[in-house]
Amino acid sequence: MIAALVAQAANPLTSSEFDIPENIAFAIIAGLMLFSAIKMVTTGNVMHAALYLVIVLAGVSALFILLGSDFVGATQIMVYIGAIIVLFLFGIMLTRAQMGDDDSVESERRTMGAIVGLLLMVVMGYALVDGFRNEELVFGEPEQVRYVVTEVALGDLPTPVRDAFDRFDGLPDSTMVELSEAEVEGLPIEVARRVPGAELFGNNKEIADSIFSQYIVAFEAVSVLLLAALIGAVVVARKE
Amino acid sequence: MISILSVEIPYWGQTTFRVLGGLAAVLLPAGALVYIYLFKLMSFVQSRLGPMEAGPAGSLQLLAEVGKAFQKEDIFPRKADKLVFAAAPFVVLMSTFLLILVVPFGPDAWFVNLDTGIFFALAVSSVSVIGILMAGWASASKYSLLGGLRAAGQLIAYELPLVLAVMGVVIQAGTLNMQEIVYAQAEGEIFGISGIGNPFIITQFIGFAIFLIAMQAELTQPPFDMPVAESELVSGYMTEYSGIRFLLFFIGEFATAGVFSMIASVLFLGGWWVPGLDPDSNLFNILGPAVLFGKVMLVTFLIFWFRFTYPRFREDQLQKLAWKVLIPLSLVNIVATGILKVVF
Repeated sequence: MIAALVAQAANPLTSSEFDIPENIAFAIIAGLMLFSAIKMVTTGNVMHAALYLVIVLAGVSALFILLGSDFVGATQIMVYIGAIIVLFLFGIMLTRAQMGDDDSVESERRTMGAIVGLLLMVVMGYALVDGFRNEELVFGEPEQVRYVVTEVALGDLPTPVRDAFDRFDGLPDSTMVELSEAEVEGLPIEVARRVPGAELFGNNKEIADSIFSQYIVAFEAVSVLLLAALIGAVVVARKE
Repeated sequence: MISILSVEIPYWGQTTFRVLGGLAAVLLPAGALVYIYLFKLMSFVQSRLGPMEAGPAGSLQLLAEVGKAFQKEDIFPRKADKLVFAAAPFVVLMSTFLLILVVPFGPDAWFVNLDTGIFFALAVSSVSVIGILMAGWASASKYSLLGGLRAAGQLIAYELPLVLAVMGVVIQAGTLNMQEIVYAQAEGEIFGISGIGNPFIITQFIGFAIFLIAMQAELTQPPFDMPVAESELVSGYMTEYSGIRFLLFFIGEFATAGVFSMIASVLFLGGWWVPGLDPDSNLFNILGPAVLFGKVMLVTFLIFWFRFTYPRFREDQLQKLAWKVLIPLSLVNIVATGILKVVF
């Protein structure tokens, strides 16, 4: 896989599959994330560290959106930036909101942290390489349309869909017509959206399908875990 | 490749159009809101004339205010954290500009047609909290810090009813995509009558009311303006800001009011669509923005009406309203919508 990527990178002008703008965007985002991640662990101010973490998390979200999975990207923003970081900042401001460098932040456990970070990188890198060992990258648009209602009155078709087919010209509105799957797939995406009964192949549907079928047990277990944490918080916070 | 009047537009051209369109879509409604409602309607409610000198009926007052802010010195408090202090207003404004991305203005007039639509909008709207906390902390002032904390507490509390109120619409429309939500309302019918489509304000009225209240709180407008309560905190997290940076916060407040109203119009009032016309007709690409603007003025009228007539809540009343009234009510609304969706 890596050899194929390198070969493509070496010959970017002849390869139509190598997306240059996407790679430039990736390089910018990744560089910003690396810089912020390093600044986050080396800065002397807790508040600054939290704000650098915001940049790193925003970068992760940007990468997800760059890869075309906007649902995960939006979730990343909502959960991490909108909730967890805000809670961090809230906690820091309630306790020690001091300006300038904080001397007590300097930690003697830096070597330990570096080792843990390195180990984590090795494990995750191995999992990534192992998981996609011989897979080839697939470029291009995924299949857009799942199924189509086969018979519909011509008058019920939205105007753009009707206009897209020459064979409907001059027919009365009550004529029953059929659209084959191949025909709908050939339409531009904006028009295909308007075909009645056409199910668009999108990330949201895929994610929903896998959460509520394949990963249902894990999903429910996580909900119970969160509920337990919620009840625990209430018990701890109560005065009696 | 997108083409207008059969002229193909290159990528950089499209990007320029999108940036200019985004600026216009955020700033023009904001300016209109400030002049029509903040200057004129507020004066009317308080039995005074409002600005009268600059231009006919004071219509150029807005330009005068902007010019004034540009002239002023950009003051940084001595102990302030310079970088964070300077960046905070931009973070708040960035959240507004990210929000406009998913708002549809016509069948083909949109910036990005995300499948995640409304979920993306709700996610990026929470980014402004970071900017407010940054401003509150970096000012190195007690008033700012307290204002920032109050703002964060309030925004977190009211984000939940905001999200939950939208759920009803999402269940009914069966999609998160903003464009599809408009179509669902345009092509829907109530008990077989399809004359006015099915604007979700009719079936989701509770959701609409909760969304408006939560929106008012998210915008920190009176009666939910504890974070900037001038009698207690000078002006909260904005206390130390002056000149152009204060102007950015000010624009952010009213631009966000405009954009949130656009989202409310799309979700509950049918967006760019008006009854009686075919939603697929090309006419809506030109008429749509005007229709949406009209609906925005309706929704913001409600917001500003409450703003001018109700006194400020207390902090505990604010939290009680969110957690004990709005959230349970919106949960009941979700369950009811789900049951009705399955039954019908």
